[in-house]
Amino acid sequence: MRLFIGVAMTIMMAMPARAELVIEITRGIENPIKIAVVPFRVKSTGAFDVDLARLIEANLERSGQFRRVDRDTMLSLPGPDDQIFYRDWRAIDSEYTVVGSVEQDDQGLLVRYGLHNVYGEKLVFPIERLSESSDSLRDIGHYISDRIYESLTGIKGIFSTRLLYVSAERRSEKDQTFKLILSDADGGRPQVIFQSSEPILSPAWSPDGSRVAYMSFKGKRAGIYVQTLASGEVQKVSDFPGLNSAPSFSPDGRKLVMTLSRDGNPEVYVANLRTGELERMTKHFSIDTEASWSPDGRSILFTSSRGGKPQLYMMNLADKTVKRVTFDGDYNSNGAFTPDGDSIVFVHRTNERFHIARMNLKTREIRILTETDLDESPSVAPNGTMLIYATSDEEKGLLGLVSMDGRVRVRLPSVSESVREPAWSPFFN
Amino acid sequence: MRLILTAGAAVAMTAASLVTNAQEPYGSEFLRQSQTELLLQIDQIRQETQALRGLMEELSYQLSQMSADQKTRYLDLDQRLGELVRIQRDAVAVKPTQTSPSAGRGGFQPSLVAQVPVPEISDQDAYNAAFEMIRERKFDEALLAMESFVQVYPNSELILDARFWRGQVFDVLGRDQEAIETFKNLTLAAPDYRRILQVKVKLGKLLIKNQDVINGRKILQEVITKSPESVEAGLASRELEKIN
Amino acid sequence: MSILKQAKAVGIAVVLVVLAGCAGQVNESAQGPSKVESDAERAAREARQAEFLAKQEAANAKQEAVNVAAKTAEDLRDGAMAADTLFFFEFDRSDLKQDALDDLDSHAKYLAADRSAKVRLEGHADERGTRAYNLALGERRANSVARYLVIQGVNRSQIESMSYGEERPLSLSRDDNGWSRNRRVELVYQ
Repeated sequence: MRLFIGVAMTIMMAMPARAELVIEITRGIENPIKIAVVPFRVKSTGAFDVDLARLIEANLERSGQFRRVDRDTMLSLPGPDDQIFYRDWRAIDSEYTVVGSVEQDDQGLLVRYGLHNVYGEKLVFPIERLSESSDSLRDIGHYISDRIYESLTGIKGIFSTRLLYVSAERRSEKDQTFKLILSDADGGRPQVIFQSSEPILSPAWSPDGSRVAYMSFKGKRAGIYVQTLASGEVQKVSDFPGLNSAPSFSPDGRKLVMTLSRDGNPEVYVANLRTGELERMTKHFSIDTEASWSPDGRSILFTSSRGGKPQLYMMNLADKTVKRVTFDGDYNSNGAFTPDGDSIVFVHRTNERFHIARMNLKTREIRILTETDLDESPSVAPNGTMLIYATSDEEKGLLGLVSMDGRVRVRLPSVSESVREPAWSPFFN
Repeated sequence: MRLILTAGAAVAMTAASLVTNAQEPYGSEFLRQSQTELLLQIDQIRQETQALRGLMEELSYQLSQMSADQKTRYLDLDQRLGELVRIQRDAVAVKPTQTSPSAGRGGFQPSLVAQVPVPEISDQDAYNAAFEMIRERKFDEALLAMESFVQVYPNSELILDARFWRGQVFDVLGRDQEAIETFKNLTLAAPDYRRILQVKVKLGKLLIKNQDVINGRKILQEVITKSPESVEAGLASRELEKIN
Repeated sequence: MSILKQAKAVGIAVVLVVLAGCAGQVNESAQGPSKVESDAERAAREARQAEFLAKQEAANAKQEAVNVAAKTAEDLRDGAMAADTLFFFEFDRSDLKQDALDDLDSHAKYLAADRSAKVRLEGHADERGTRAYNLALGERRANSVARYLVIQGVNRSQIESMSYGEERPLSLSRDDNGWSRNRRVELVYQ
């Protein structure tokens, strides 16, 4: 059995999107690290459109593990070469202080920055120099945020990663615009990478972050497409009659697991992206869908209603044996593994409300992470500390972040449009 | 002739009706109805199968959880019992070689057990394990366990409780003399023990039961006079009423 | 025994006689022409006349049946157009509700009578539950309707089914009322 892999490819041009996300932190940890990010000294003829200090403090604060020290309370605004009077910073309760400068000359951009431990009265690491081309000040800001986060928490930062999500504008039932948007992890620099008057669903990253898979319609026909981000090239993976949905890449990036109803009923299939070979994995007259790979590539987690209600099942790919995983509640679906493979996150219905829950696969302990309603599409950050999910208020869909213990919650509503179906990228470095 | 013509017309009519029937490719309305019925029935059966499957999955999961729990519980008990048996064996093994400098002391012999190797489990755990056996009504084992506890942990805060329960188990087992002796020793050794009233009521009852009415009555009376407000005083007066 | 049955029996006997007569005639003509019409010949001729009459009558009957059919097809079409094109479902279910069947029957009768007619079945779900699951649920709902129509005599090639999941709600109100309107299959004539 072979899939037709489109040879004639379409090129999708990226364009800036209006659906920019806004960040509202609704809940953090009890004792966040207090950090002062001093405005960076600017040595340039023109002005920069990015305030690095603001970008860095917002990044750190969004993790829930840091709290910014207000700029107005700072007693002095030292640069990277100035002496630091630690007692001034102790006085305003800052545990760490970041100083830096941005210079622009003929060579391009030079950024220098340092991180001071106020109570230890020393630099955490020596002043660093970064030189880049001028259009990547945001990249530099994310890089510095990652560096600070990792040296203070010991965990790799996720500020240089990216997000995919879908925005929808509805004028009437039949007149809607759907956009697939790529943005920075903080919602900045949103770009439309695909647009359609028909729904776009289930965006998924390739493990190396170079390609994305999604489901969309051409006319009235559903199909699964893989788009290369750098070139905009689009490859059709399948458009069989009926359902073509819920794609997810294998950890080696060579295969795609997805749902097809070409044999009359929604079933899970694995497609080899290189050879086009197609293997049917499930066979049941109920719904089997929303499959995703375990990090070790040995099993897939999927939703099935074979037991009357949607529940999560795990299939061992070696022998195709299936085991039910969830037993609490009458609706558990859209599961995904955490990067360490020890837990799964999924949509769990409790008291008629849909929340994101996490389950430790060994202890089977379930923790409900969110408290809004109609929460769905959980996607875990590559460092495993947080997940992004879709929820909604009275008017429109919005995105939310929650730490894996449920203690930190951040809302990311869009400025204008309804947003949903978020997918967190892997690390790019 | 007429007859033949009529017959011919009849043939024609039959043919015509055959033609009309042939226009319906899928047979009769009846067939369609039964197909529809079958379809609806299959849907229903599928739903029921799914519901049954779900129920079966849940029940077998619960069953496996329960048997895992039971196994854990058994292993835990087995381990605790093993500990106690080992402790006791150690204690017994030490005993014969013992030349106690304070052998002449009456009652307990703390120096004897002082040389028992330091046990690996805490006194609280050992006590709990022993007490668990009482709760499970394994009185012989419980007695053994309480006895070895008394020997292994002579300085434990739980020592009086262990002696108290030892007496209680003797009582349950009908070993009245040993129970009386245990409780008597307890009243002498620890007059301030928090369960002393219970000890006294039990001792009084046992004495009366074993024909020592005078001492039994005396002890019960003492409980009533010294702690008139206590629950035990009520119990004591009820015991006294029985013999009056 | 009814008169009709009697007539039928006689009719069959006559046909047999006619067949026997025809077979005999070929042999006779080979032997030479005969001037006098024999009893058998007369019977055969009369039988041929009867046959002709029967054929004509059958043709008339057939024409009439066609006329009736044409008239019925128009009626059926009108019936289908008047019938509901929205079919609703319970939460997380894809089995047809009893009250949908009458309307579906009207569509089926028309589609079975007019093979050139085509429909698209669009399955939908309410917003509760996950999107990809709801897409599958919409697909199953559309398939439930398709299967029913096929059993009623509609050709599979006349039906196209697809699912929009929860992406195209009819009602935006987030309550049982709105949700129940959104759990539907829309039947659209092409």
